[in-house]
Amino acid sequence: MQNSIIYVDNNATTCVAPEVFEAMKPFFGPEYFNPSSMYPSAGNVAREIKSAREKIAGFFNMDTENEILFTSGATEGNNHVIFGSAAANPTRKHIITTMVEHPAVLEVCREMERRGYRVTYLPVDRQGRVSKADFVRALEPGNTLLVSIMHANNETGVKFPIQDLARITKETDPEILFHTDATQAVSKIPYSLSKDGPKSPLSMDLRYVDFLSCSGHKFHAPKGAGFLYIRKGTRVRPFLIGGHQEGGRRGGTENVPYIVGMATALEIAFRSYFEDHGKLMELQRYFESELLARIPDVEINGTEADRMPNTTNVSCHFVEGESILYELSEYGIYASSGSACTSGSLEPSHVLRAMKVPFTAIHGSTRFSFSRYNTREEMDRILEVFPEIIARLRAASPFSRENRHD
Amino acid sequence: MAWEYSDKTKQLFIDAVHGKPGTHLGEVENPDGLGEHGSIACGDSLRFTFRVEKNEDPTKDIITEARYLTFGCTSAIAASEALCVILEARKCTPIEALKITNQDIVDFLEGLPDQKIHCSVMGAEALEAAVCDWAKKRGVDLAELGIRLQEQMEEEEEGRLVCKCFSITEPFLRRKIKELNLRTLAQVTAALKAGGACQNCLHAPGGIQDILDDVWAQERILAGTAAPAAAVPVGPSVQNAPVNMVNTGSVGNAENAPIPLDGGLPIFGQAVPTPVSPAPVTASTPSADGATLSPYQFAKKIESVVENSIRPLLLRDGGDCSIVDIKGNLVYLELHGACATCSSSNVTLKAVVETTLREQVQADIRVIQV
Repeated sequence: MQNSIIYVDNNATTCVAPEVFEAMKPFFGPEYFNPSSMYPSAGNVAREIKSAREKIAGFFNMDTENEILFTSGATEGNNHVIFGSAAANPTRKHIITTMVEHPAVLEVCREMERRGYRVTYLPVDRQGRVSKADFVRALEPGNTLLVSIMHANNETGVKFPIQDLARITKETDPEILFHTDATQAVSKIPYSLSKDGPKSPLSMDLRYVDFLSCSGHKFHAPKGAGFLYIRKGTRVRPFLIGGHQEGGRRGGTENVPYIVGMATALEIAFRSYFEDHGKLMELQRYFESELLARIPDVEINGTEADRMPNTTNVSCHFVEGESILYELSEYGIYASSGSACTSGSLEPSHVLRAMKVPFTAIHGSTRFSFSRYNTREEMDRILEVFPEIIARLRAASPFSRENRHD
Repeated sequence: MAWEYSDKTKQLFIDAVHGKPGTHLGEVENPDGLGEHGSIACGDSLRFTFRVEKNEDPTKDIITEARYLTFGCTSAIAASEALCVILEARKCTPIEALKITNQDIVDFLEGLPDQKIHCSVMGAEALEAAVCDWAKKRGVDLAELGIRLQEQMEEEEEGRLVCKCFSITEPFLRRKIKELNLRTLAQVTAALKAGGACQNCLHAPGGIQDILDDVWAQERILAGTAAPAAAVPVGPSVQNAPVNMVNTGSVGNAENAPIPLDGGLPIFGQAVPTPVSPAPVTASTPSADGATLSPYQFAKKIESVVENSIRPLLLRDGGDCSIVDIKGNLVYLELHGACATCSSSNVTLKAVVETTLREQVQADIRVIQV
């Protein structure tokens, strides 16, 4: 049935770019030394890390490369920010986040509640947007410790206006820390983190952001590497203690090959940014308009919101997402779903529930997430197969249009 | 989580949805028995129908044809298919069909992953409901035959709701815990979905753990009836006691779930939505004209300045603004219309509003544009 794989689950993880793999190889071979050791060969390895750090600092227009902390990924980064900022600012006891964050933020916030913190979970509207008025009302000058709001949602691709939210936060009370989990946006949106503002008018000005976390494996670097941006002078305690690495802020021998790989992956991403961005926008526009034309009773979740060009979350009424995925996989198409049966918890996606997607559609959500390696031909293949699958499963379903109540 | 289905499960699913001849997707027209289980909101649902070859003695009717429509995952569809295959192969009466258990379905599928066991339970439940329907249509009094299905179904529908997410009642839980020999919370969730979503009912008083403890404690008591005859009169009260406790215990706690505040944000955890303590400036700092304003007067005054001095100015140019919030000396202002999109005017506009408010209300006011 299947000849080759069509991988459209890039918000879960991405393939390692061939150039990245090449760049990493020496560090699995002759360049295996611990960058902290004294002999000259180790010094070379340390210089490679320094160079990776400088490159990344440049891509994000940081004021100094020491604002980068290499981590194992965004989960570690998010834990570091929430636990570390609480430990360093013990008089503040309130955290603001959203109901649609990744578990690496939500679960940590729940843990903070058990430790006596109060957490405001901002709701979202039917399109997945957060209201600035809600946000403003939640801010408590003098008491709010941290705002942690993702840039782009992993399930729907809906973007939050972090540039404005960070500014409002700092204008309200400069001591409130602002964190953004930018896992799904890093490499896909150009950022400027400098306190002096962007050099290029195309970069998003994040001068009010204190922390930014991400994972390398979302942009064609390997799994297990990421970085956390910590603005110079920000009050935060270390999370992993036990070593002088990363300026004493994160113990543990550096993951040399992966750090080098991550810098290379970003280099490629920013080199081909305009080309990739345009291509993804075009693919998304084509894919979504065709989906809507070819399948009745579908909706694109977050369609009216500002969205990433690489994510299409489609809800098909009256069918269940897990069986959609299974059929897709039989055709070699790898996607993902927010349905209960794929979540491992029996509950459908917390993101779609927060968006109040009608119950006849919430279990039938399928997420297609693209990368620069996807092609128009692949879209056509999906568009050929997907409507058939939906039609078949609808024929098997006891529900139909009469059951719609939205 | 990757799929861990048996080849048999995968094959049944693919054959069924592709309409391979001999599979059972669909509905029997004018069925002799119809049963449903689950709901679309819960993530899976099954409508099961069968036809019988009628006998003069309805209890000797033989099921000849079975069909299903299923909304659900791969294994839910495969389990429904399995149920129909088993039924048609047995050529049995509806009453005999009741002997088919979820384990028969699991065995037919050559195993199901633990977290998918509920798919097979759903099949067995829909079958029971369909048999009830058949009995009603054919005038068979199941109770007379010693089968309490009808009463059981009513009792279970009306019983105390334990798992709100999946609408699962206490009587149903008790029966299924015994029938399926469920000993742990994880087993209950895998087989019945109960407690699998918000998980509040797992450890709440009167929740699933309490019911599990109680069911198996009672079983031990029953198993121990060989014990001294003196124990017999105590029996009923021993049995009743925990049930009553369960009922009373549930009332208070179920209501403790986080409640979204009226018109506000859902605030979880310590549930004390402390109003923001305004910075001391509002209460103590004299206003522009020298008088000390209360926080209420302060807000009213800002409102009136915005209304009378600022909005008319903006409206003239096709713009508008509104106050989103006031915290201490911070005034959050949202720009609308032409103003909202004109980035160059924003900065000056903010300065104009700020200056006006400072002059007319209070010298330390800061305007934040939302």
